[in-house]
Amino acid sequence: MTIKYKLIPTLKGFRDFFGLFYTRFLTIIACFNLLVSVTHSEENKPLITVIQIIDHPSANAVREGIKKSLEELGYTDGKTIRWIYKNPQGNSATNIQIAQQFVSMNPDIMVAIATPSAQALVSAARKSNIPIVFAAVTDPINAGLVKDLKKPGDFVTGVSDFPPLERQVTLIKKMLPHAKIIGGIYNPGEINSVKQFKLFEALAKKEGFEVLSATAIKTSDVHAAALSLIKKVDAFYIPLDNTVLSAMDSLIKLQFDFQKPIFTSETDSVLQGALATAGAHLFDIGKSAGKMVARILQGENVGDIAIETARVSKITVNMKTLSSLNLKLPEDTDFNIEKIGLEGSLNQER
Amino acid sequence: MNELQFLGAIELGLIYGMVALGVYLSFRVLDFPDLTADGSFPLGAALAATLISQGQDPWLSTLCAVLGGCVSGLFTAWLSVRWKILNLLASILTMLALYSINLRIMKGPNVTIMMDIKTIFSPFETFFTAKIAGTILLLSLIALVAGVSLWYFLLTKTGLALRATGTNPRMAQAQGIKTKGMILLGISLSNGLIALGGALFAQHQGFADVTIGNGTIIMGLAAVIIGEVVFPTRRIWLTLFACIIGTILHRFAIALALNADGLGLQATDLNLVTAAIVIIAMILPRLKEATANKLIGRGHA
Repeated sequence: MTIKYKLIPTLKGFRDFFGLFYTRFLTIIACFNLLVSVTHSEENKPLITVIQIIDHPSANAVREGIKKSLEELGYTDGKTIRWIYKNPQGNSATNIQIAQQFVSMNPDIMVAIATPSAQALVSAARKSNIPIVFAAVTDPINAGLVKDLKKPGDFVTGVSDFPPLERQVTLIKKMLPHAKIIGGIYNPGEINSVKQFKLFEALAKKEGFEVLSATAIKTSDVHAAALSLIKKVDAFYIPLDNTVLSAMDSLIKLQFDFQKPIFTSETDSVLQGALATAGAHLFDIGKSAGKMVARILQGENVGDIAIETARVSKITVNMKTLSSLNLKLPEDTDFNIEKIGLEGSLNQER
Repeated sequence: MNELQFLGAIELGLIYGMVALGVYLSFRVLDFPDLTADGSFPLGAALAATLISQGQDPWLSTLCAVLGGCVSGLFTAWLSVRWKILNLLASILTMLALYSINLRIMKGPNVTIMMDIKTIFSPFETFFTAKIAGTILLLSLIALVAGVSLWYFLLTKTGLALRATGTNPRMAQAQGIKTKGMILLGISLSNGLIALGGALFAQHQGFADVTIGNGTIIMGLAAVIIGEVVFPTRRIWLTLFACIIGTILHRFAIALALNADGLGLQATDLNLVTAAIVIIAMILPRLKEATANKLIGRGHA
């Protein structure tokens, strides 16, 4: 094989290249624009764009909550508003492209679900002043979204999904008075759950518990992580962690096999069969965010809307799990207990 | 596709162009299937974001990120060359290890570069009225410098030895080329470039997250192959250029897929649509070739 390499590209090289450039590169771009112009349409209804980093039951519940509360307030997709939803399917570069696309559409409000999407959206929207409402972000300050929770000031506000950890610890103490060691499982790659778990650990230690933890990077690792702890702990605590929540069913099986109760951070997993939570319904977190969107549509200034956290007054307990683990409800009037898992009470809200 | 999306795709294309150059170097030049990229890309981002948010000089931080990438590549190559671990497995092992290392570096899964902290993009953002124009200028300069240096490197004696190692290692050895050294050099360079992409990504977006590495290798490989199909050439400088153009075209394909919601497609169809567009883009030139051959009446495509 004899190929000559010259340090300076020859004229022929340039001609080759630009010949190709015109015939292929430009045709492809032209096709792109043609297709797009066909699909583009202009309407006068307020435009709401929604980005959600990945398809996941808990994130989907938040999104459904937003849509539902907007509908309840009279903002229905196709009738009074336009709702555009995009999902980069976990790809961080596509995540950014969607954010850029949204900014270029100049919508009335942009909604971001989960931290990476919120970060990409805020980064793309700098200087554009399009209102952004985020949901399911645990720590908006450290994520660089806002500087002050009470007065965000800029064009960003939203709902944080931080679960009520103190109540969670109290709940474990009340329900399992003899428990000493709590095992936690979380993904060290998820900023939300790491933050929650660290705080939970500190609070639980203050209350006299010992806390052990195992990490799972992938959904398929969750079962093994639980097994590594199961002999040592009296109960499990699961933070709001997408990876672990995806494998909840395998944990619930272990819960019954080994008689180790599982406490979670949101109600959906309790519906699935975990024992109890002091946390919120993710759907309700979405609803709070939806109300914010409505307030901005009605003309309120984004910078004046304080960041909300999910307000929960209820304790959710799965009664079926409770009886099969031979446990009793705590006799305490402080707790407003919502019993689920009884016949006919499943899926009561949706 | 509107103006902002168009420019945004170019921006991202230039950032991931570094990844494509790195992947070209490992997969094509050295014929070494190196999956370290999924770990070295976030490594670059993690190093740059952590150092910059602690107040270090952004250029120096970027350099550190590149060096970090080189070290990770060196490790993969060392595992493969010194301990005869299959190259694919060696790179997977490094990638796995890097996940934990990245979490250590960032002291958590996510680091934010706050808006008021200076990055390498900050001085360029005020160059033109549109912020994006300055960013693209800087990114093009970086791509140009990286591409041209890689080109000149591949033309030097060492570069020739590197290419020979990839094409025919036995022959190269017979010619007195130290092929092991060449693999070490090539793979560390490749991962240095990929980490540079990560460092640029973190500064451009204002954050680094441990998950941003997911699918880096696939994106890089897709870009290299698209580039090869769109610009079939033997000239090195054109091939390198094609890598970057390939990345930008891949980004355009995604931008197009994002705009295709008028066709009754849902958000969840995105990956399918992107794949379909890339497939069409790949088949078209071949189809043209085949028809041309038929028309002339010779050959079989």
